[in-house]
Amino acid sequence: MSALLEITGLETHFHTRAGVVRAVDGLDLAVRAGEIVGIVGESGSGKSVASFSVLGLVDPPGRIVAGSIRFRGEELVGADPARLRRLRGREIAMIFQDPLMTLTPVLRIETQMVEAIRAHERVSAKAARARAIEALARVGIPAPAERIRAYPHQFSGGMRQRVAIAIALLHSPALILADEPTTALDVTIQGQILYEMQRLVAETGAALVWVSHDLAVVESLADRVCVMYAGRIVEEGPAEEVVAAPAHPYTRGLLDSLPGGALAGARLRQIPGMTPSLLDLPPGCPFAPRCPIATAACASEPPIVAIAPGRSVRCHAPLVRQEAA
Amino acid sequence: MTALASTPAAAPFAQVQAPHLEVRGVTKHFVRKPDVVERAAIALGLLPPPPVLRAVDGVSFAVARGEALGLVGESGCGKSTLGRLLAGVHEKTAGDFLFEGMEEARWDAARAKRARLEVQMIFQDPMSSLNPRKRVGAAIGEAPVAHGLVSRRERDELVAGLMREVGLDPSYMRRYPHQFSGGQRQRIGIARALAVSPAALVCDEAVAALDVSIQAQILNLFMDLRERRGLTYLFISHDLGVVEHITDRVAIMYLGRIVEIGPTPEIFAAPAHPYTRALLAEAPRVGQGRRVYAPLTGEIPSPLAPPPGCAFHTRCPRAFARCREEAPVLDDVAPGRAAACHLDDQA
Ligand SMILES: Nc1ncnc2c1ncn2[C@@H]1O[C@H](COP(=O)(O)OP(=O)(O)OP(=O)(O)O)[C@@H](O)[C@H]1O
Ligand SMILES: Nc1ncnc2c1ncn2[C@@H]1O[C@H](COP(=O)(O)OP(=O)(O)O)[C@@H](O)[C@H]1O
Ligand code: SF4
Ligand code: SF4
Ligand SMILES: [Mg+2]
Ligand SMILES: [Mg+2]
Repeated sequence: MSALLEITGLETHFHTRAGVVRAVDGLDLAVRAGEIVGIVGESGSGKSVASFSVLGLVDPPGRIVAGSIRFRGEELVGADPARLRRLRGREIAMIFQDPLMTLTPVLRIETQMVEAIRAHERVSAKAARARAIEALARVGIPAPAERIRAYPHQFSGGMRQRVAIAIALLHSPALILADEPTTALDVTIQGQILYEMQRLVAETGAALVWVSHDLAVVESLADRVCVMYAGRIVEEGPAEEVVAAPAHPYTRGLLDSLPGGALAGARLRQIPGMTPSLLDLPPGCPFAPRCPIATAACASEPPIVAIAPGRSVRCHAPLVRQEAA
Repeated sequence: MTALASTPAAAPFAQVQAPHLEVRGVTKHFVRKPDVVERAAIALGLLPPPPVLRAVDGVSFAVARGEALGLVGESGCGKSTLGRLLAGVHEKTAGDFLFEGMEEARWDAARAKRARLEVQMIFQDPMSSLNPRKRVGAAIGEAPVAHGLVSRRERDELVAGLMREVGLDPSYMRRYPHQFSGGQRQRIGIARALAVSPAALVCDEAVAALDVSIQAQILNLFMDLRERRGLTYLFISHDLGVVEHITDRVAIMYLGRIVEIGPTPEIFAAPAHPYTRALLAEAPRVGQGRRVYAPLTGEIPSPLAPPPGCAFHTRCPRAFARCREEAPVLDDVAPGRAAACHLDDQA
């Protein structure tokens, strides 16, 4: 089966005065139609830059320096900007972390949605408006016919994000890249949005890449989860298995620091140290300075270890061993 | 009239000894400003005046000194507005704010000044409240100098102490906000709020934008500060795991009102209000595996036109005739616990 989106060896670097920031540093990811892939990782691990790379939205001093991004077999690295613009917002939709990346503060929601529809389809303003109202209702905006007249600042943060999601889903895209889309939403509305996402994936066969640091949501939603650290995927596998038995020490640390499990009021466990600077990373495993089980071997590049079909980890001493053959 | 049901009443927690902060029947209405065309149409009687949006509608509660009260509820239900009212960012439309048991009307100038600094806010995105061109030391030290709490000369010393307290290296004082990571910026936001020696913090989704490992650090910092400074918290969060972990009591809001309030462990173990029950059931938790999400049942009501009776009746699985006519009041259901639901009268 060929993948809808196939990223191989992607390297996106920022050439800054201080040096080269290796934001994405050898990313491999394949997403099939109808599949939901979750990407988790701490901020600065390259999740957003990876999504921006797919859409050709990396601004200088950032540049894709190596690798390939194929969408339906078509190479997007180095593709004509006009071609990328046509793909964006229609076949590939992006939901940004910050809804104001999608929304303009000075225009009414109505104006923005009608424009978004008419940019890709020939429909009357009236029909576009009706579609927009319907889309708002689907993401749970109450009284959409009245609220569509509002400006973004008159909406709560969560409502703005719902509008951005409604805009992304307007054209039934084949691939949706969602970057921390529901962080600002309550569980009810999040549930409604996730329902819409699952429905879209089931009905249209769209592929969904869901970037989030909320492991519970990723587990509930994704077929597969990829854990990113310092610009690469360090663990990959079926979401339930990774959450139940993480193989990478970083994934283990993430799960251990979640509130709710520990006794209320007790101090939470923290991963020691800080997110590494992606500027001139030392060779070897980038997690080594924070890893509780690091050894001298970790100064060399860790191998990708296959644990089970579809499950792999990039570590010298995985916490889960290869299944006996 | 639904408004009658929200008549201010004393907050229903007899066991709270000396409330540090209290609101009674506090209300905030917004009116959307009509544009030119609409204004003309309204003047000609062709259009009704724009509707009133009841963001917060007759809310009463009290928080004891040093207590952490959680505030949860769906997006747009008025949590931030309520937090801002408490922090004095918004003017309230109606209701009373009591500081150490004393109504605003009886405050003298000194108390009014203290009350204003007493409650500080921590936001989800600290960048939005930090001037990108201002060094973080100056940002942290700005308010205490402006309010005459310290002199210009003492400022750096105060700032260094605050930075140390929140886990930042004071030698970073002369850096700009963009030179810090998300977690560090949140620490800057906290240091800035602490600079005027508040006794209470309103944390509005203060850890929502942080990834779990950084979130754990900031939550630990909040717990340390509470121990060290005896701070009172109003903790607004969509993350029920976070609320369960760090709050003593929790208030659940629905469409501008509190529908349930009580000790956090009790409410999480046995929610009384149908909305609280739905909310807790819906929260995804790690270890629960894949799940098929369901669409919302019933209509999400709008704060522009709240449904008559119980605002939750359009979605409540247990609604009955009375719910459509009469708004339930927030009433004691157990010692220290209150809920606003007609079912509680039936038993
Ligand atoms: N400045 C404003 N002008 C008009 N309406 C406003 C304004 N600020 C808030 N509102 C409205 O008040 C209601 C409550 O908003 P609020 O920001 O308090 O919600 P919230 O509970 O904090 O939501 P979220 O969880 O999404 O942050 C919403 O309907 C919102 O649209
Ligand atoms: N415009 C830029 N200039 C320099 N570095 C950048 C720029 N944008 C992002 N980066 C760096 O790229 C890395 C990955 O960032 P990002 O993809 O936004 O992380 P995530 O989305 O995982 O939080 C970070 O180290 C970040 O500092
Ligand atoms: S390679 Fe070594 S340092 Fe890196 S995660 Fe594995 S054990 Fe830890
Ligand atoms: S009052 Fe009626 S509609 Fe409201 S929560 Fe109780 S049972 Fe449901
Ligand atoms: Mg990001
Ligand atoms: Mg809010």
